[in-house]
Amino acid sequence: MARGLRLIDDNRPEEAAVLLEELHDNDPGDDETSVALASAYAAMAKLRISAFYDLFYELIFVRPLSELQGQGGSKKYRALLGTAKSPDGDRFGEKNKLSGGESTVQQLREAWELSLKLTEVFANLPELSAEQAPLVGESIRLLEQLVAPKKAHHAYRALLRATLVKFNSRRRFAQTDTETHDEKSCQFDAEALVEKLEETDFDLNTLFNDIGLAFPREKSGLRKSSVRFHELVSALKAKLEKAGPVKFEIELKAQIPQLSDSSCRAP
Amino acid sequence: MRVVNWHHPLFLRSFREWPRRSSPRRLFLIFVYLSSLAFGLIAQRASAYYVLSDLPSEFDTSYQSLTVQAMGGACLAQTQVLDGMPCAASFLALVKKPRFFGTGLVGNGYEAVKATNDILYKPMSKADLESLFANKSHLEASGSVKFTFLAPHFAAQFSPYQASLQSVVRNASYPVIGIHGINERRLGFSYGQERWKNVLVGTHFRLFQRRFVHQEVQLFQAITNSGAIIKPFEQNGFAFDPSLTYFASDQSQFRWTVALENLGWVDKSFAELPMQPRFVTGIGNSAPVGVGLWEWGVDWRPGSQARLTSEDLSLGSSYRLGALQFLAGINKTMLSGGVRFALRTVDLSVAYTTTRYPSGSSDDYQQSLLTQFGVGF
Repeated sequence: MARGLRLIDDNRPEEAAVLLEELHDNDPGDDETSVALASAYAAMAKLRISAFYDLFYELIFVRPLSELQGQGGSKKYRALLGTAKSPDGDRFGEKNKLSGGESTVQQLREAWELSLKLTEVFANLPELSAEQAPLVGESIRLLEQLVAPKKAHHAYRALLRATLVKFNSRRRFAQTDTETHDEKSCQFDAEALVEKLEETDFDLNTLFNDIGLAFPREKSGLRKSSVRFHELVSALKAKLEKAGPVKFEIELKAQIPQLSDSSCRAP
Repeated sequence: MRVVNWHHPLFLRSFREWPRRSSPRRLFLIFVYLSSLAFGLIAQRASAYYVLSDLPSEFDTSYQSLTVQAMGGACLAQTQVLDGMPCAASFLALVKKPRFFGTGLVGNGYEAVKATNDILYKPMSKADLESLFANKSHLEASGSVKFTFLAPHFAAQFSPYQASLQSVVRNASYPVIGIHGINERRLGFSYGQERWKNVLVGTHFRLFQRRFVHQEVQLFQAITNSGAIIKPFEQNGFAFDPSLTYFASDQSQFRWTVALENLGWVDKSFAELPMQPRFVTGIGNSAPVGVGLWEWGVDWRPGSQARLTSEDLSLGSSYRLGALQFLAGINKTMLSGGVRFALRTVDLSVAYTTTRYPSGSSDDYQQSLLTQFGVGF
């Protein structure tokens, strides 16, 4: 195994991975080999942990997710949700608890804002490319299969997952900017958006679970950060399922004037 | 119980054929015998370490004087180590005048030596450890204070502080730091004489007290662990280092030394700091060049698998010109050079070393600057 690790040091992670894969296949229950192989994949993805682990540390201990204000993200969604009218005149953010009477668009906007916060929190973490992401995913998979994982392994997994969550988050939300800059576009697929939010919710849950296993004391604080997002996404999903996609769209159109604008033609 | 039959013809014959008492041949055979014993005791150390599996030789606790380090560890090249004890006690037979001196050595600055001390003597916080990770890929430090008395045939040395540290960070994708730090307090006595014509014999005896750290820590282990991460160990013991030198009395002063090191006892054994006998041999030569004296030598320390350090062969050279001494050395992992300026009572030495750390085929070098101040009478 030392040879494999030295190959990583020698900037030959592909060769290291081949060697360590062989060892791993011979003894899949050996956690040390699994972690070494996971690090070889991370090295193939060009992740230099020492260069950014402090940002991750900051995310957990210094600037928790709940204290951040969302910025950036897809101009299209931002513009569309920004034009939404609140039926009861209540400003966004003043209601902390989800009530039955809260409008769908209000929930959607809050969930959207929270997902933007997520993008900002991860802003300084490395940007994975489409080629790197599967390698990081493979590292995480290996770390999930450890026989007797230690806190250190959970922390490693959490950090790798944070980079992957950032990648997924960007792909889900920011990518739409490249599709269109037309703010009047009618290609506002609420169902797809809820689905993306749901995926993000799942990512966050898994990430916070990893962080909680690595840093048990931070577990409750982290939960608070994700619980509101989870509530919103669950409520939106329930509404979507109950009303069905068509009615859901109609409700949104009633609250987002741009979508009902005559200048906005269906594609 | 199995009893050895000492009257067996095989034993009797061996003793009958044993060379006559006190002959050089007999002494040589004793050395061969002890050397084989040392080799026998040297077990192939299966290292449980990845980063610390192979340390450069400056972390060998046997020698720390600046001139020796500047000569790449070729300790037996010099007939007289001018800033410390001779590496082989047999060389004491060549000392003409008594001398007392004290030296203080700092390697890579006060801060690095302080960091070494903190690692060894203070509970290490998570932040301290993280700063080591953030520092750079390597950190080297050394510091020592020594008081030495040299006289014809006899030498004594007291070293209240002799510390060194090496930390190496590996695998950027899952960072692991290896820390090897040691402080050794030592009291040593040596005796050497010319036993036969051109044959010098001697032995060094030392008592030591060590405190050391030899550990690999993963970055994630450091950030998730709330308890003490670095655990120092202590070891006390004594050792004999007998040596035998053939010394040509002509102008070349050719010498060939065979020595055994670490024949001794420790109160606690640690695989991280093996106390195993080892065989050392070396040749050296002196020649007047211009108005100065040039010395060179090669040391060979076989059986490095049983040791912490990695070099087998060291080549060193020195040129003395009045108050100045220029030094250079090379071994498998280190290239070094230095200069020593010595007046009657004061001397100042500076050495620069470049150490290659084993890390696959890529070049991975660490530079160190050693300064030493000495006062002598």
